[in-house]
Parts: sequence; C-alpha cells; structure tokens
Amino acid sequence: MNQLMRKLIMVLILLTVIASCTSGCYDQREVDEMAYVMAMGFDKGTTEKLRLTLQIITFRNQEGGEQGGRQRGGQGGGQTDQITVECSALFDGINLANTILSRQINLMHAKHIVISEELARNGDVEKYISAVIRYRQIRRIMNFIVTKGKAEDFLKENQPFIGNDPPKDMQLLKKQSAYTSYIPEVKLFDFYNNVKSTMIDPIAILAGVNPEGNLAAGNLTEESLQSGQYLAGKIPREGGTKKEYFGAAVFRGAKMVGEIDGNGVKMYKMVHGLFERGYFIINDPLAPDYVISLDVRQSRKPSIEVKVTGNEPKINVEIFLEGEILAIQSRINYEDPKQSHILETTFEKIIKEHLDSLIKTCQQDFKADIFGFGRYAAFSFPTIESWEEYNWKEKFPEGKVSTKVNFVIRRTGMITKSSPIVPPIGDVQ
Amino acid sequence: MIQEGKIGVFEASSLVIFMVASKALFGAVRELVEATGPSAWYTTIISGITALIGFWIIIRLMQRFPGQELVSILKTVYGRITGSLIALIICFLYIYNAASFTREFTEAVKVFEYPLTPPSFIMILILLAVIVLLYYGLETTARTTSFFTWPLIVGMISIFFLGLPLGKLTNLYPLLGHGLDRTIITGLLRSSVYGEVIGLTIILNALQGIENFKKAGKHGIIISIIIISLSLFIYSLIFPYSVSVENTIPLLTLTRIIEYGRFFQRFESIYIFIWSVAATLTTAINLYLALSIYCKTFRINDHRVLVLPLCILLFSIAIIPKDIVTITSIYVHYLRQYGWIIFIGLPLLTLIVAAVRGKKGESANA
Amino acid sequence: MDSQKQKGFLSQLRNILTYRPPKQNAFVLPELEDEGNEGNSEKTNKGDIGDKSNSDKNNKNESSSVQSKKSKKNTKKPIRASEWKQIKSEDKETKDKISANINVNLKVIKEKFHVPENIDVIIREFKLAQKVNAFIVFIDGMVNNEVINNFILRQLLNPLQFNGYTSGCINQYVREHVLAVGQTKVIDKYSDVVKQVLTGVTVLFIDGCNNCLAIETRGYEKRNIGNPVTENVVRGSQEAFTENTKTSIVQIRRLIKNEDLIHETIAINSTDNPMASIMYIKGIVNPKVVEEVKRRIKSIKTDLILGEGILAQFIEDRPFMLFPQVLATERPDRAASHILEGKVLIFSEGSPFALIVPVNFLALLHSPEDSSLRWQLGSFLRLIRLTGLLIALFIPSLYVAITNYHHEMLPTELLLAITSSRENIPFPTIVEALLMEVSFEFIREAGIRMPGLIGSTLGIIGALILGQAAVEANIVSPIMIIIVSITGLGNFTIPNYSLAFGIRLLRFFFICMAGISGFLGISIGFIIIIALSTSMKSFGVPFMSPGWPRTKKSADSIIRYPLWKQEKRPDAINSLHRQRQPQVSRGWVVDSNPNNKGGNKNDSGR
Repeated sequence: MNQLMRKLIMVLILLTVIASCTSGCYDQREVDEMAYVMAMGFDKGTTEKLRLTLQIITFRNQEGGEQGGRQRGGQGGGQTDQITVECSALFDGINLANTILSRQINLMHAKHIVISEELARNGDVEKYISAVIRYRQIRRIMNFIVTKGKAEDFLKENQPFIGNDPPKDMQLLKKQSAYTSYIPEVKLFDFYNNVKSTMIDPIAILAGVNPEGNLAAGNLTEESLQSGQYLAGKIPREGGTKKEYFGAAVFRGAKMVGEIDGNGVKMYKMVHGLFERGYFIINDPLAPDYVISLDVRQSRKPSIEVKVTGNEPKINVEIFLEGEILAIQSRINYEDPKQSHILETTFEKIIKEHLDSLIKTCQQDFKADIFGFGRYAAFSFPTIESWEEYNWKEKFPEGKVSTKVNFVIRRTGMITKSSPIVPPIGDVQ
Repeated sequence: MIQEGKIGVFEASSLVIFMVASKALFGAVRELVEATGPSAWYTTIISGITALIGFWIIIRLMQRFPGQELVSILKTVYGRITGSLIALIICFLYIYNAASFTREFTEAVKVFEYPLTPPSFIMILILLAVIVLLYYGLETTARTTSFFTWPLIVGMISIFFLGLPLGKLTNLYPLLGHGLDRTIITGLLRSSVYGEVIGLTIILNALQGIENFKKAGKHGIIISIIIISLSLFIYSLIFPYSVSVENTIPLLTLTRIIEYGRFFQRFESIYIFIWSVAATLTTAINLYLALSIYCKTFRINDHRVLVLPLCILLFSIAIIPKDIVTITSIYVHYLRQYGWIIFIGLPLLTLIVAAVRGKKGESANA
Repeated sequence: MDSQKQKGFLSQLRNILTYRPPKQNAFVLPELEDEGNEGNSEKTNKGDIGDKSNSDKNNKNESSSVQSKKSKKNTKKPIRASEWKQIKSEDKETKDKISANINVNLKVIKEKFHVPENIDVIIREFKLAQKVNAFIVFIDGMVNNEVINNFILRQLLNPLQFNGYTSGCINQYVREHVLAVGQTKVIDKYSDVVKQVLTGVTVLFIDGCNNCLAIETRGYEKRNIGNPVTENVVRGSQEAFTENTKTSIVQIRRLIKNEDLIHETIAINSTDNPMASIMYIKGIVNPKVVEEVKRRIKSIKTDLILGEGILAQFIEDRPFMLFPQVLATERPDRAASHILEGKVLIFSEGSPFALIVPVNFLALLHSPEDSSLRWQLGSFLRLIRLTGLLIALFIPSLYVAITNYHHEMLPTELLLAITSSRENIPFPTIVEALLMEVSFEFIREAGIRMPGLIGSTLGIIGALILGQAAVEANIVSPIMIIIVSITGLGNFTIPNYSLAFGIRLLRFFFICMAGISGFLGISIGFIIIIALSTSMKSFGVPFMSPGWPRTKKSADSIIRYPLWKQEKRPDAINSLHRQRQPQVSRGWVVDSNPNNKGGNKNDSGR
C-alpha cells in the first residue's frame, strides 16, 4: 500500500514539476530577450497622429561591433540607438517598433519621457499621458521633459558626455537640478499629480538641442541676474553634447502655455521650498562695474498664506534665503557687518523683483498657478465639494500677491576680509 | 472536537493583524479614499474604535459563557439547529472572505506582474501553501503567521518612512473630505474591516483563557488601526485626491515612486514579498477559521479530511467573478459595507437573546 | 495469482481513497518545574507547551487507547495462542539460567560462541585453588592480557588465597577476597554473559555456582583524544570525543564535576549489540525527555547501528524534513554546555560524536566559540552566520526570479551588466543556475572523497579552472559564477553539517519555485518551508522556538547577551530548574566597596 502511495505521489510531483516547467512559466522572459527602452519621445506625426521615438540600449561598443565574450559586462551600459515610427497611439507604435526588433520592447527602465513643444502646446499630452500612466511597465519616476523642436532630434543627441552609460546620465538629471537650480525636478508622477490636481498647475523640464552657434552670435545681454535668462537650446557655449536642459515649460491643465527661464525656475523652487542651492551673480551695489557672486541656499521653508475672501484671494509669500560669498570683484569689504546689509538688501530687492515678475507672468499671461498657492487656499475649505465649487483656477489670476524676501549672508568663503590689491606703481588712477 | 493545540497572545495577535491589516495592501485603500477623500486616514480610526467597542461586546459575550467558543455559545443560546445555521453563515462568510481575497490578489498580481499567467495557476500556487498550512492545523498556521508578522510590520513601516519625504501636507486638505457626516457614517459602516477579530472567539480554547483572548484581540486591532491608518495617511499625503482614487493597487503605486538616488529605488520588491505572503497567509487563516467552525458545528474530529474539499470550494468561488472591478467594487465592497452585521451585530444580538432567555455558561469552568 | 494481484491493487486503491484517523503518537513535553523556585513567575504565553492537566489527559487518552488496542487484539486472537507464547517464553527463561554444573555451562558457552570454530573466543579451563573446576571466557584482543594474567589467573590459581574460605557460594568469596580487579558483577543469565563477553569483559564460571562473575578487563586498542575536525574554534577547548564511549564520558565528567550528572546505558536491540549511553543532570533535565529518549532507543529493532548518525535517524521526529532534529557534536565542551541547559546527551559506540536532544533551530547556528568570545563579537558572528544562511538559501533563486520575471527590480546599470554578460550564453538562466550549482556540488563532494592532499587542490582546480573556463567558453555568465560562489561561501558559514546540507538541498527547491513563478513562487516556497519547520518538534520542543512559538525571551538566541545576563535556561526545553544563576551573578559589582559605596548603583549586576 505504502509503496503504491509513494509511487503515486512521486508521479504527481513529477507531473506537476514538468507541467509547471514547460507550460507554467507563462511570464518567464530572459533578460536578454528584452529591448530596454531608455527614453521615449512623442512628436506630432506627419501622416499619423503621433511620431514615437524609442531610445533603446543596443549593447554595441564604440566601434560598433558586437561585444565579444572577452569584454563582457565591462562597460555596464552600452550604446543606444533610436527607432522612430509613425503611429496612431503609443502601443500601436511600440508594436510597430517591435516589428524591426527581434527582442520584446520593455519600458520598465525608461528614464525620460520627452514631449515636443508642438505636441504640448496642442494639448495632446492629455491623450498620451493616460496611456503612459496606466501601463504597468511604466515607472512614474521618469523625468518629464518638454523639448524645443522635435523630440526625435533631442533623443538623437541624448548621449552622455562623460562615460558610456546613458541611463546613468539621465538619472543624474536630478542631481543636476539640485546643483544648479536652473531646471526643475519633474518626474512623471509630479506632472501627473499636478495635472490632475485642482490646486496647482504643472510644469515640465525644458530641454532642447543646442546648435552650437550661439557663442559666435554673441548676443549676451546685461541683466542683474546673469546667466539665468536663457532657455534650453539658447545657451552660448561650445563643446559637450548638443542636448541641454534649461528652464521649464508651464502648463495650464494639460496644455503648455509658456516657458520660464532659468531664473524663473530658481524662483519657482524657492516658492516650493525645493531650492537647494544656486549661484547668483549680481551687480555690485557700490561699484557698478563689478559683479558679486553668491552661493545661495534656502534657510527654511517659505511661509505662504492664502486668505480667501470673495473673488480676490490674498496671497502672502515670504522666502528665507541664506548665502555665502563666492567672489567680490571690486574687493569692497562686504564681509564687514556694517556693509553686509547693503549686499543683503540689494539681493533681497533683486529676488523680489524677479519673483514678482514671475508671479505676474503666471497670473496674467499663463493663468496657471504653478506655485501651488491653491494648496494653501484649500486650508480654508472644509470639504472637497466646497473647494471644487470655489474653482480656484479661475480665481488665481485675480489674486493679490505680496512677497517678501529675507536674505542673510552667513559665510564668506575662505576669505573673511576683502581688501583691494595694491595697483602696480605708475598705474595709479 | 478538533485538536487545535495552543497558541499564545503574540501568535493570536498576528492572526488578527494579518486578517485585518493586510487589506491595506490591496484595493481597499483606494475605495476608502474614494468614499471619504483626504479624511480617510481618520475615518479608519473611527472604524477601529467602533470595532473595539464591538470587540468589547464580544468579550462580554465570552465572559457570560466562560470556556465556550462561539459555535457552542450559538448552540446554547439559539438552540442546536438555529445555532448551527448561524455558525454556518459565519463559516460561509469566512470562505467568501478568503475567496475574494485570493481572487483580488490574483487579479492584482496579474495586472502588475504576471499578465500572461492564467489566474487559476496563481490561485493553485497559493492554495498549495494554504493546504500545507491547513493540514498542520492552527498551531502551525499561527506560528507561520507570527513568523511573518515582523517582516510585514517592518516592511510596511519602512515603506511609509521611505515615502514620507515625497508627501505634501497640503494634500490632506480639505480636512473633512466629503464632509464630516459622510466621514463618520463611512467610518461606522467600515468597522467591518476590523470585524475579522471575531475569528478569535472560534479558536478561544486554543488561546488558554479569556485574558489572553482579550489581549490578543485588543493588540491585534490597535496595531491594525495603526498600520491601516498610516498607510492611508501616507497614501493621501503623496497623491492628491484626484489621483488617489485612480490607482488599482494604491500602496504598490506608492512604493514604485519612492526613489533615493540611482540605487535606492525599486522598493516594490519588498512590497511584492509582503504582498504575496500576506495574501497567502490571510487566505489560510480565513479558511482555517471556516474549517474550524465547520468542524465544531458538526463535531468532526479530524479537520484534515476537510482541507482539500474546502480548498476546491474556495477555488470554485474565487473563480466566479468575471473581472477585477466586480471583485473590488461589488464583492469586497458589500463585504466591507455590511460585514458589521455579522461581526458586531451578531454578538450583540446573541448577548441580548442570552439575557432574555436567561442562558449562562457554567462558571465552574472559569 | 492475477486475481490476487488485482484484489491487492484494488484494496490499495481503496486504502488510498478511504479515510483513516491519524495516529496520535506525538510526544508532548509537559511543563515541569520545581515549586518555590519560580513561584512568582509571570504568566507568559507558552506556545504549545502543555500544562500538567492537559498532559495528564493526553496520557490518559494514550493509555486508554493502548488498552483498547490490546483488548481488540485479545478478542481477535485465540486465547490459547497467547498462553502458548507465555509458556514458551517461560521455558526460554529457564533455559537462559546459568546452571550449577560447570560442564553444562561450558557446553552452553561453547555453543553460544561457536567454539572452536570461532578462534577469537578463548575459553581457559583451570582448577580453582587447584581443586575446583573453573573456566574463564573472553575474546582475544578485546581484553587487557596483563589484568587476566596477573590479577585474575594468578590469584585464582593460588590456593593461599582461599585459606579463609569456609562455606557458601564460592563466587561471593572469590569476589570479596580473591580478585584484585576493580569492577566485578554477578550474572546469572547466559544472554547477559554473551553480551558482556562481546564487550571485552572476562567471565568466570566456577563449578557449583548457578551464577558467574563478570570481571572488567576491557582493554582494546583505541584512538587517542585528538583535535576537533569539523567544529574548529580559535578560542576554547581543543579536544574532541573519540570513538570510545568510555573516554568520551570521562571527558564530560572532567568538565562537569557534579554529583547529579547521571550516565545510563541502554542496550540497543540490533544485531551488532551496541550500547547507547545517555547523560544528563538530574534536577535540571525534564525527566519526561529522558523517559522519551529511553523509550525511543529501547524500541529500536534493527540490524546495525554504527554510531550516532544512524542512531539519530532512528530516533528523530520528522524523518522527511531536511533539517536535523538532533545536534551532533564532537566537542566535549559544547556537549557539557548543552547538558547544563537541561538537554540529554546520547553516545553511541563507534563514532566520535555525541547527540544532543532536544534541539532547536538556533542551536544549530551556534558555535562553541560564541560563548568564549565577548558578547558583542559572539552576537556579530551569529548575525553573520544567519546572513550566510539566508544568502545560501535565497541568492540563486532570487537571481533566477529577477532575471526571468522581475527585470524591473534591478537598478538599470546592474540589469544592463547582467544582460550584456548573458548576451552570448546559450542556456536559459535556470539551466545555467542548476548547471553551476550542480557542478559546485560535484567539486564539493569530490573534494571530500579525494584523499587529503588531492582533495584540497581539487577544490581550487574545480573552482578556479572550471569557473574560468566556463566563462571563457560562454557557457555561463560571470555573474552566475559570483552568485554560485557567494552561495557556497554562505553555506560554509553554517556551523552544523546537517543543517548546511539541508540548506544546500533547499536551495534547489527555491530555484525551481523561482523558475515556476518568480517572487511569488519563492514566497510560496518560503511559507511552505516555514510551515513545515514550525510544525516540527525535536523531542517535544518546537523546532523554531524561542521565536515561533514565542516562549520567554531567551538571552542566548541570535543576539548573545552578556554571560552575566543569561540568568535563565531556555524556556522551551522546560527544564526543572530554570534559573541558572542569580540576578546578580557578578557579586563584585554590588559588594559594598568602602571606597566607592553607592557609586555602582546603575551598574548593578543585571
């Protein structure tokens, strides 16, 4: 009896194992049966509605040859290449792209979602983002980027300057944003949350391809806050890769309505309390020919109050900044507590001007509450119904905004006392 | 009577925690957020307090009949046939609960991870573990559950803490959600989320005394309140109301957006383990309770004979619903909305009937 | 013939399909504790450990069931048969009695030992005090010839020794006045004689006595005490048990100089007639455990018990589980520490290992070094071992699951590295994993079986050359080599050989589960393994205690508390004396020192 029982059990176990090994592994896919998409680009199509570009890791090394057994895994990353197809919708495009690829397209490791400005301005983002959000392979932590020009062109230039690892390059964008504050950090979920929200309007990272002719054109303008007034693709530079990220695209709902430049992004980050650090160059208040460089951080979260009275909400914004002196070209002793307040008030004034003008643009031109003042307005409403009835997005452009900026110089760098360099003899003014 | 062995307070509490708190890993979170908006996190505290009051009623009932578990109390109070019928209703409720749990997990896991695998295959895998657990009985089920309790709690809490920096306090406003009245009513009705604690009354004899029963129930409910409320809190902290009502598997979506640099991301691997373990164990516990009620109702000495038929029954029930929305918005929804009738109403009714009919347990056994 | 077979098959089929009530033969460890010692012990949850009343009930149930079984048998079988059996056994007993006639004795003994065919058995006939017929019987080589020549034969042959003899049983006189040997025993059964002679005892038969004298003369060649081979430590004792039980017991006695240390021997009922020795400390050990150990050993009926490894398989609770349920150790110090925890030590002749029961999972992860090191280091070592165990168990299966199902779970760079390294590999990951794991097992097994010097080189050759060549030839990916080697390393950290073996096998189970359905499969497999191990018991003690079921907190589980904090013996073992040291075990911290009186309040000895 026992023997038969045991035999039966053995047979059953064997059958189960065989059955599950042959037919059971329904979703089993080897890693090398996949084509990993690193970035997706959405353009307006010419014949179809959409032109989809997929940037895919190819594992070919620089010489273009197949990586042999000897150099396995050495680089980790590998070259990327892109495929562009015209299609009516996202998944249609993926299927089409898969006809030229033997490996299954996999979006799990995509880092960038790039939308062309044209598409964004049309308000077509709404159509494609729902597909993107719903799909299980999409992680909502990819960067949400709007590019000047065509996404296809941008992805062509989307190669790392250092190293051979495109995904690393794309993921370091977050650090880049924190370090320079000229680009916002916008993930897909940030964008989506804000698009859906009734309290805030979304922005996106602005990117573009630099033609590398800007330096020769030499159209540099004098302004109180240098270097921040550009938009992506307009930076006067040479060298490096052609892609660049600068500024942000402003959306009202799912429709792009405008752009803000690097300085605007700094202001945006300050209001959101996300401003980690940034260099500021201001004109010397005492010696107008010279400039002063400051390394500015946010000392604490901004305080924002929104009073909802009637149709004109009152918005109070107070920003707290602290800084470190990087350079004083005029070598005036601003480190001295007696003089430092001159620098501080000047800087406060400049920031306030910028902030006010940005808010004004948002209210009047964009009619988009990218600062999320609506969130603070919601404090005054007890229920969702009453809030939705108030319709914040209608009221925001009429809102009265008063801003205040506090700036303190905390540190002075490696020099605590500036003094003029003694001019060479015979050169005295 | 079936031999159930002995379990301690820790094991019993973990049974409750798994039965109750693992719901936070499924679509229930979304449903509550949909019903009450940003106020969901304290709605569930209201439910929990209601459930604690319900548990107090259960304790009174148990104290009236010392040494008896629920089925024999029902038989004493309502008479043998009516009592058995009521017991069978509870038994079916647990099977139903287990079935909807299994199917919900199956569908969710299909949506996220195994799109091509047939649901029956996933269910059979789960039932494989369930059969092993049930075959060895309550002691093993409880110990296995308690083995995974700390991983569950630590895993969930770590997900919450990792997600915290993404949160925006302003997402919790408007503070009252869809209005205080709606919040409170939903909170009261939803006390059935915590209602599974009544299962402890069935295995009372394994718990060695009513004191342990009290402790286990209370600890279980309170820890569950903390876990569920925290998960709702973090979830509505990160997603604005308009987005939070969309996600099929809310906490999974939350876990997927957590990111600390290039390496520390993709925490959903923790989630998937917690998730599948919780689904399997919860199914096993619910099914065991059904098994126990059945055995006690019909005085079956050996529960092992029933394991396989019950699992097949579970499988058949679980395979009935036609799609994921049917399960979450009809099956689970009605269970949560009206479950309190059984979980709180029944003990109260029994207590009243017992008082009216003057039934009391033998105090000698206390 | 055919029909019979069919019937057999049908009845077998019926047997499979019909329900049979399970046999409740589980040993439940009752909770015994001497009163007064812990009168104020708080009520804590004791998991499954039954209280007295329950165990009494169980016992009653068992005894009643036994009775009912007996009565059933009685009704079924004709009465005469049992009577006949009884008569037969009585007959046997009378036959077994030693006769007073020495010739009869000689004949029987010769018959029993097949003399003269069997040349090892020496029967030396002589005249006691040059008058009475006598003979001694012993086995050549098992005895110390010097003792026999100098202190037995010389004394017995010398008539002067018998001057004081007047009357009565001469055996008694010989024992008291003649023999100059330490250990003698009077035996009156042939079966005992045979057993004693086989162990190296010399037996003396004297005419006119219906019993005989067993004289301790054991002295065979044996190995000297050596260093432990499998349980090496840096700090701590460096001696190991030998195959000789007597020496081993002395080794224990040397460590535990306690009058309560009991040593009992139990004859195992097998053809090779070995003795099992059990050791425990009366007053600490739970007597029910000792009883159970004896019951299990006595009930064995088999052919060959060659040491503890075989004995363990006969007495363990769950033979189908991969984890060991007894702890085998070759270190006297470790055995001693377990005895003091209230466990029972079992020696079986023929193997330099001792078995310790009952045992739980964590004890299998302990090494004797943990306690000789300071507590922080000991705890760290244990954590390392636990991590090693988890790695050995899960890493290959996680790799298979991730590369086959969950491409999302890896950081992109790592995924790309794996993908590019797998680019030219012809096998699926699971085949690759199984291939490498199996060849690693080959290397291991070959290394053990090979003679010493070659064995160690073989490991290097296998690991280096094979791995390197396989990678060069694009048979496996380099990542797989890393996975397999880290798994092997993790496995080597497990101090218990049987547990390490169990983990090695379980690894394949998990690889298969991962191959079937990724993380879900691993989770399901893990639940099943945990369910099996939590349901397991080793001599009444839950295998996964003190965690699951939760017993009182143990100071010596994963984190090893400072020694002066280990005040209690493990709870799950239910020893009689739970307190192993007072709350203040380091008297000096509270001794009032006139110089710093009261200064030590915070550092009181707990």
